[in-house]
Amino acid sequence: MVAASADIYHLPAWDHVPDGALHPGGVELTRRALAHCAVHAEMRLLDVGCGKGASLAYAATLGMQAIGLDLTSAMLQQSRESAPHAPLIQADGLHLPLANQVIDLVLAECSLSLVADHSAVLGEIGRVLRPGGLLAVSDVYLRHGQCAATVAPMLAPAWRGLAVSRAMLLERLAAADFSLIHWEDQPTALHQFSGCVPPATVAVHWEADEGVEPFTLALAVARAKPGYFLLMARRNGHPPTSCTGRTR
Amino acid sequence: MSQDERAGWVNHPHLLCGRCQVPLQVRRVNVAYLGNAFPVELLRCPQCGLTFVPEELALGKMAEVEQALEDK
Repeated sequence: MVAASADIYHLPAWDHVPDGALHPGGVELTRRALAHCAVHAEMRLLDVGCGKGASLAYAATLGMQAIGLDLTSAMLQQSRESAPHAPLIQADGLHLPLANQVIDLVLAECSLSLVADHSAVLGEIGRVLRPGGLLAVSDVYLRHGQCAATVAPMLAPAWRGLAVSRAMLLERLAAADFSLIHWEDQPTALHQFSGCVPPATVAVHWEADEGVEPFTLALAVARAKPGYFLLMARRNGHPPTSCTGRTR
Repeated sequence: MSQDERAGWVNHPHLLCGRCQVPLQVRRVNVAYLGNAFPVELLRCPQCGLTFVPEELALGKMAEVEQALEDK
């Protein structure tokens, strides 16, 4: 979704992730998210940051109309192989080229954190979701949320979306007119993700800002206890308020 | 960690790779542990990719980060 941080997904190690899912928890976590959302055939799903299309392929097995969106053509080419019938869009999560209220469910798996401005992305997702539509997010957060304010300025600007606490996320969801319906920690997701491809190059990357000593950042991150969550939220019924000029 | 400390392990122009016998070069590498990766500059062999981690770093900051990540 943001080039500077999306570049990490082109490292060779990602080619060897067993189930092709470029996020902690893999397709199993996607399955869990969609089960919580009580999905059914004919629902229209938008996968923001679809990567290699593993989740699109899974959604297709459920009969859903899945649309994939990613920033890079290289990823979309791989999505085309995984989900040959899914419409694919090359776009930024901050500017979804879709009309208002046309999507039933948005999936964002480890892609929200690639954007520093969560509020802008959530606003844009809220615009394309129909009232009552669902948002499923799995991503990195700092379990010791009080450390987020220390970690954020040490990160390179494009990576500051990683420095977020549970409270900050819930506040941003509410501000974007979403109601939280489920939150769960995935305590082993990061460790298992790292272990799936030796050597452990498949991991969440923490990029230091200019002038910040990387191990000083690493220690601050470690003390903040990075974790992984899965949440579901429902878009409230108010008319979309952002990007009203984008209707197509 | 000061810039001087960092320079202590990065500026070793005469270190050779034991296998390839070529000078190590400063390279950006990802140091990863328990699902988290941190891009850092370390000395690395341009041929075989062997990365030199100085003892003071391995037993110092690196060990401290590992311990903090292991703590619940």
